Amino acid sequence: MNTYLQELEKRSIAIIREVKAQFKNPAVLWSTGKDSTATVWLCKKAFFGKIPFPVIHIDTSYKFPEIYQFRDKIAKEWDFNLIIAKNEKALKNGMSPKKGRLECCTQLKTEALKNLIKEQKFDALILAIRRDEHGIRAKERYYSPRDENFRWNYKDQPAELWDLYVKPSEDFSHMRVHPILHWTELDVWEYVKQENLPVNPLYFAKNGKRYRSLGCMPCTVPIPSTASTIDEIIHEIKTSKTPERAGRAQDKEKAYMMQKLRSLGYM
Amino acid sequence: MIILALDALDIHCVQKFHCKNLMQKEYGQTSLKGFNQERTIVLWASFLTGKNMEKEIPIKTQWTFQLQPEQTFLKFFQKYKAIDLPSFSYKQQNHEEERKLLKGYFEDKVTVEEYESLIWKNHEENKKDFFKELGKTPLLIGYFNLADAIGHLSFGLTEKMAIVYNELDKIAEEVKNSEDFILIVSDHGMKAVGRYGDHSRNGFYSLNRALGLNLPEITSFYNIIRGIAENEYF
Amino acid sequence: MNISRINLVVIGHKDHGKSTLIGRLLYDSKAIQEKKLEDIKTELKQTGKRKFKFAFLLDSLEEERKGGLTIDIMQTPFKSQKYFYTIIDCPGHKEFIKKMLTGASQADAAVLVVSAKEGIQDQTRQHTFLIKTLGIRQLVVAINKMDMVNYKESSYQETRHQLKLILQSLGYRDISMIPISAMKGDNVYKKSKKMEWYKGHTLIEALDEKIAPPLLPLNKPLRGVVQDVYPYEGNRQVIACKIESGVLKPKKNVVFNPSGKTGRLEKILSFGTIMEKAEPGESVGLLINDVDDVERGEVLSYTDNQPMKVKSFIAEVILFSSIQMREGDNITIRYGTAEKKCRVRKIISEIDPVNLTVRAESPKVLKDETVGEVELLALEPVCLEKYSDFPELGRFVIEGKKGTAAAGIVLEIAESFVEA
Repeated sequence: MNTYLQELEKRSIAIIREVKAQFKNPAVLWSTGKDSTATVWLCKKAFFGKIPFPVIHIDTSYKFPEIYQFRDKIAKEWDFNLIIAKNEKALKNGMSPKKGRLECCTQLKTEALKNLIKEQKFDALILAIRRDEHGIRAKERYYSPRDENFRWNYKDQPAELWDLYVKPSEDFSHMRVHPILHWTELDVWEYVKQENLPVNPLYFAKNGKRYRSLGCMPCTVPIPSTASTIDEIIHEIKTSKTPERAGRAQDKEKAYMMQKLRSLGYM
Repeated sequence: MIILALDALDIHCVQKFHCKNLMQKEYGQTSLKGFNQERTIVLWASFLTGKNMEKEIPIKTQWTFQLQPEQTFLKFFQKYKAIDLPSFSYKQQNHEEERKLLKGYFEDKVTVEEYESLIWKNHEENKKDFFKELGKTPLLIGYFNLADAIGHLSFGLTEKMAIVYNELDKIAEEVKNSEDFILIVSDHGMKAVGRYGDHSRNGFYSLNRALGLNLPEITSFYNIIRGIAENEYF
Repeated sequence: MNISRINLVVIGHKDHGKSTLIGRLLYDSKAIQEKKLEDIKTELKQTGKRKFKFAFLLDSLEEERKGGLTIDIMQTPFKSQKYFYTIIDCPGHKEFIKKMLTGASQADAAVLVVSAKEGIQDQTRQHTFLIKTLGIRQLVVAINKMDMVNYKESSYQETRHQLKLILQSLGYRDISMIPISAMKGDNVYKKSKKMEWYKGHTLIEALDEKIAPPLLPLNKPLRGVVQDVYPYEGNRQVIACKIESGVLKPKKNVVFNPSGKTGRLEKILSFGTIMEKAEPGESVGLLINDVDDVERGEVLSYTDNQPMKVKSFIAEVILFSSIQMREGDNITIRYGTAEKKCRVRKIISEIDPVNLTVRAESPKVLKDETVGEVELLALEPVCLEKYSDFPELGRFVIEGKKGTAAAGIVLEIAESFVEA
């Protein structure tokens, strides 16, 4: 067994167990993508088989049919308590990407989740966010408290101390927890391979294209690729020039970019 | 005449993402030789005046640099509309806000999502303004900075850029059959620095007629546009 | 043979040359010679700086440090004859207190940089005081900028003498102080030709000689914290426990404190597999015979080396914003996975880290954003340890309305509950 992946796993499982212990009503978000599937699997491991809280799928109704099939199959096999979050009202009023991509995402994803949280009174959400996807260092926190509008006050927040997280009692709606923050895209694929996790077929190349992430059908664009197995995807990532690399290299690039943008007069 | 001024549009991406509407009858790269830096304002001002404006526009005051119509090829048209065109009708407030968030990102106060949210918002505004004017004037110039703004922070993320190029291609599709002469041009291209995007030394251009250009400089379009204006419009 | 790794923190007053020293250490040790140096050169060329100089390396470092980023360069270990050193932090002043008290990694040793030109300044004292509080006992001093005082022995001796007084007052004895010039490279790796009067070690030699690698948590007594208890097959329970130090093996008797419950560890589980042992950092499931209702927060150990059930302890606390502390206040602390109520028995002093003096003796209140020494009375037994012995169980946070309001480390155990 790969000891590096073991290290990653250890930290993630410890965090997930803390969430169950510290919060009354947690839930985990699942998009059926590789990152959230790995996260849900980690939850299964943390609790020795059955996840003791709900698994939420945000359904915009514009997802690929393969996603719905995959979702229903896995939910059954893994014995989840699956909750589907949908903004029925907005959909009835004809919300679609045609009304503006941003507006559509806000209404069908963010609002759907907000409503569900309010309704079910979830106080912690586990999300499959990785550090290497996001440039901002401040977001590199395992725990991130949100108020009702999903806002987070950067300035007021004390440093993350030694995994001793205290739940605020003011201005607090829910805590966002990111147990795979320290994993890279490559790590996730290697883990998927090692644990033999189910993978949505959309990730594999068909007709010279494959999806690198599974958004909604109208707005997700595939990338050119011939990788049609996990091994090929892993190889593609290792040899590709596109980023999604370890955070360190990114910091150097960020510093360079900052200098360059300054010299061009942007900042 | 319609000019789509698409900041940072890069030929490699246009080809990679199969943007059939951006790749008109004739398309290729432009050369930035003669320019020391690839500054957006300088390049668009040079496009408009037909002259290399680099020495005349200091970095500190570049964003608010303002050309008069008589200094540009616009003087060859009786009526024209230029939306958000740098050095001419640039939406100062919108872009200042964008630059503020960009700075905030590097100070770790702003997320990529927040920045992109503003970029898309301003983009939608430009689209609205542009399509409102379509068909109403002899010359319509629409400037869109989507590829540049999103690219600076995420050029290395293929799927994000695919969405951006897809969007720009859709705009090109909508203007496709509506005009006599359509020019799509960018000031410079982009190259990846990890996940980020730096300006590159070649811009993109495409025309819906074959003029047989060969690695033109951005200042060359002045005469081309003048010629067409004088011969065909008035 | 495994070469030991040492984590260093570089401290000192602003502009005394910390970054320069780091750059010099990496450059002279050729730690960044290969690819990384090339990368920096490429970056610099692209932004217009043609010739690569050591100074540009520093610009690059400084630039990134200002932005507060963790830089690739700083994570690169540099080698000496004996060890692999990694500089884990070089905190800027504003962040220092918070960063040092809340740092994720413990430094094994510190390098204090003092400028021979400017002499001892506020942050020199402040940083030294703080690392002492953190239990970093290994320290080497670099008296820097010798090139700016003409390499004069008198400057070195004067600074050395003053420093000795301060260090001694903090309890540091026999500390090596090396005259160097990080900018020019004197006495860092290479012996200086400009200081004939100095017959001692170079900085790297002093580090090699004075610093010993830390005790691996593997060799410390067993300590684990109970995270939770889940139902398990056949009406049983599995205890989710995180190992903080030592090694846990099955078929041994274990005890949970402060409740005192004991049992025999039957199996160590990880989902799908049974483990032979559990090491520090691992979160595992324990099947223990003859033990019921173990609660979250308890500390696991073997019966032969158990944590004390502490009644009162002296702690160094740092208060974050919008919290004040008064004698008699009831607070809730969190350490490990436990949440316990305590009372502020006495505010011993408010400390001014700049002057190393007690700013106020027995003040009535500790205001926000201050550091103080307090005596806390545990209203129920707690299994805290001295921070310098067991950092994982020697640090705690104090709960407030907005989350964590203060953080503290245990300096001394005052009273403990003794079995009747």
